[in-house]
Amino acid sequence: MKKFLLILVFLFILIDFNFLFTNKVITGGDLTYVYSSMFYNRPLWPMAWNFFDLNGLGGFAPPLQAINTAYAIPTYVFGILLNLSWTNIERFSLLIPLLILTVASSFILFKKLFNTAFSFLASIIFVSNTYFLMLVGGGQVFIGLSYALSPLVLYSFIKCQEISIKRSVLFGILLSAQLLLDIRVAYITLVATGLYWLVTAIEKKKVRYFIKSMVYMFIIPGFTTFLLHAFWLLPTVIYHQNPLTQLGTAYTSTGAVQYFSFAKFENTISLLHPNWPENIFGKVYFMRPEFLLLPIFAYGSLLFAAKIKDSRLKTYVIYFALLGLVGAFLAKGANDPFGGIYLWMFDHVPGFVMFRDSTKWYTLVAISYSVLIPFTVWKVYEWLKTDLRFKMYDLKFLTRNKVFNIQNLFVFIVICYLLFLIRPALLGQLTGTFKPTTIPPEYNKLGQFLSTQSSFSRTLWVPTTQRFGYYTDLHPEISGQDLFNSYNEQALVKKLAVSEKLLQEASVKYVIVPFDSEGEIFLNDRKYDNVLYQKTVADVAKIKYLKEVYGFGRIAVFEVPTPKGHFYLNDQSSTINFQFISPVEYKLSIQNARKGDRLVFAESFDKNWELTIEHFSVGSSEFDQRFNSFLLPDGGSYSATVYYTPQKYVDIGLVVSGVSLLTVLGYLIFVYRDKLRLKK
Amino acid sequence: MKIQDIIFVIIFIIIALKRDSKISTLAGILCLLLSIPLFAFWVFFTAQHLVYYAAAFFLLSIILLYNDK
Repeated sequence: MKKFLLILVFLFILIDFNFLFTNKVITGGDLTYVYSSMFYNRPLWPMAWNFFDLNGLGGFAPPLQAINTAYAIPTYVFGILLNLSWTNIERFSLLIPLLILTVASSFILFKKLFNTAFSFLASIIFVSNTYFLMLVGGGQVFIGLSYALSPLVLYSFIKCQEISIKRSVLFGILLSAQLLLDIRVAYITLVATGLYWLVTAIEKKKVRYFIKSMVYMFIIPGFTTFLLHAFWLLPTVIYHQNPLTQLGTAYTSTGAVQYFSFAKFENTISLLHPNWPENIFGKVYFMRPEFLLLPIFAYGSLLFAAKIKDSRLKTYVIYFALLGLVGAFLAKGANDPFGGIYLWMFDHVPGFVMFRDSTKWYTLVAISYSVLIPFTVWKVYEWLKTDLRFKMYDLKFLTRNKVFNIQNLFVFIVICYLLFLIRPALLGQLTGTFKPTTIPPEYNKLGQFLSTQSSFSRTLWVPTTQRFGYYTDLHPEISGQDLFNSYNEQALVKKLAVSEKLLQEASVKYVIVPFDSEGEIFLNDRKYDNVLYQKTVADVAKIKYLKEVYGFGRIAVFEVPTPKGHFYLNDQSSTINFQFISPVEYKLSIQNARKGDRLVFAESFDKNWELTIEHFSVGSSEFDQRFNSFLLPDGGSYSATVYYTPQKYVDIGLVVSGVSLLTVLGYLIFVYRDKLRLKK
Repeated sequence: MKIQDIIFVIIFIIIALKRDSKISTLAGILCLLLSIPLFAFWVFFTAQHLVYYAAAFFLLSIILLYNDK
C-alpha cells in the first residue's frame, strides 16, 4: 500500500510538472533567463550596493541581500564552479528541489502529527493546489521554496514545546533558511507559529509555561535567526533604509492594496487562486463551485474532533482549522467581509506593509488544508471500514475485500476529485514556466554584441526589459516605463524624444525596443498586439538624436550619441580612468582636474558613497536630482577611491553570520552524535 | 441588513447558546453546500453571504471545541 501511495504522489508530480523533463528553456513571470556571463551578477560575497536595483541605476542592497544570496548560491555553485548551463541550473538546483521539498515537507508535518498512511494526501494537496501551481507558473521559485519549507518550519516550532535548546536552535536554523528564500513567507510562517503558541499558551494557563515558552520558542530561535542573518540585518538596521519606500507609493499605499486584492473570500476559503488557470495579472474569473468541496472536506474534520481522546491531536485539529480561517480571511485582502481590517493592519502592523499582494496568505490555507483534508479522509476511511454499518445493505463483500472495498473507493473518489480540480494542469493548459520555450537567436546575438563592449554603458529598454535581455554590472539595463514613470507606449516615446541629456548622463548607450517573443510586453486587452510593437519601433526610429544599429533581427537597437562614462567630470570633456574593484568600490585616476570640479558618478544618488583621496574624504551630493557627485578638493592629477560605506557593516555582519552558522551546526552535530551513541 | 443576514444571526445565536460544535460545523457545511448551486447559476450575492456564514459557523465550532477542552 505504501509503495502504491508513493507511486501515486510521483505520478501527480510527473503529470503536473512534466515541463521539467524537456531540454527547453523554462522561463515565465519572475524566472528570467540568465546567460552564463551573467552568473557573476550576484556575487557570493554580499555587496551593500546592487547595480541592478532601482531600475538599473543601483541601490542600497542589504534589505534584499537575503534573496540575492539565495540566488547567488546555485548560480555560483552550479554555474561557475560546475560550469552548467542555465537550463540545467534552473532544473537541478531550483525546480526539482522545490518539488521534492514541497512533497517531503508536507508529508513530514502530517506524518509526525498524526502518523497515518494518509500523509501522501497531504503532499498531493500541498503540491497540487492552484496557489502553488500559479506560483510555479509565475516563475516565483524562491517564494515557492519558502512556501515548501513552511510545513517543516511549523513542525519544528511545534516540537519546541518540548522545551529544549536543541529544538529551539533547529527551529532557528530552519526559519533562517526560509527567511533567506523569502522574507514574506517566513513572516507568514511566523504568524502561524504565533497562532499556535497562542492556542497552546491560553490552554495551559500557566505563567511559568508562558515565560519558558517565550524563551525557547521565540527568543532563542529569534536570536539564532538574527545572528545568521546579521550580514544584511546589521546594515539595514543601522542605515534605516526601507526598500519599499524607495519603490514608491505603488508598494506602500492602501490604494495599492485595494487594487491588488483580487481574491474574494469564496476564492480563498476554497484554496482557489483568483487568476487560475491562465495566470494573467488582473484577470479574475467567476467562482468555480466545484472548489467549495475543499473547505467542506477541511472543516468536516471538526465533526470528528470532539471524539478525539488524545488532547494533543484535538489541539492540532482546532489549530489548523483556525489557521485555515485566518489564512482565508487575510488572503482576500481588502475585500469583504471586513476588508478594512486588512487595510488597518497594512498601515499599523509592523511588517504587514510587505503584503500589498494578499495572495501570499494562501500559504496558511494550503498548510491548513494539507492537514485537515487528509485527517477528514482518514476518519471517513476508518468509519467506512467498519463493516457493521453496511450489513443491512448486504455490502459485506465490499468491506472485506482488501483492495475493492468501499473505503478505498472513497479515497479513489477523493483523488479523482483533486485531479479534476487541476485538470488545466493535466491537459497542458497552464502557461508561464509550464510552457518551456527557446531563446530567439536575435537575443543571443545582442547578448554577444554587448558582452564584447569593454567600457561601461547602460541599455534602455522601451517600453520595458524583456526576459531574454542581457545585463551585467558593466551593462546594466533600465526599463523605460520605470525611468519615465509612464506605462503608455506613446507617452513614453514622447518623453524619450526630449531626454537626450538624461540618457547621456545615465550612461545609456543603446535604446532597445525588444522583440516580444513571449507576448507579454506589447499588450492590448491582455493579448499581444503586433501593431503596437511596430508603432513603437517606428516612433522611436523617428527620434532625431537616435541612430539605428542594424543586425539584430526583430530587436530594434538605437545608439545614443556621446553617452557619459560611469565617472565623468561635469563641465569638462575629459574622461576619468577607473578600475572596477567590486560593486561597492572603484579606483580612480583623475587627470588635470581643477579645484572645485564636480566628479559625477552615474549611479542613483546615495549619500553613503564616499570619495577618498589619500586622507581626505568627501561624501556624495546629489547631481541633477538623480546621480552622485563629489566636489574635488584639489586640482591636478591624482588617484582616488570611491567606496560605499555601508559595506563595512555587511562585512562585519557576514563574519557574525559565518561564525554563528558554524557554531549552531557544530552544536547540532554534537547533540545528535550524542543521541546516536545513546541509541547504540 | 438583508433577510438572509437576519436568519443567519438568529440561527447563529441559537447554536451558540446550545454550545454544540457538531451542529455548528454541520450548519457551516450546509451553507457551503447551498452556495454551490447558487454560484453555478451566478446568484452571487446570496452565495457569497452563505460562504461568510459558513466561516462564522466554523469559527463558532472551533471556539466551542476549544472551550470544551
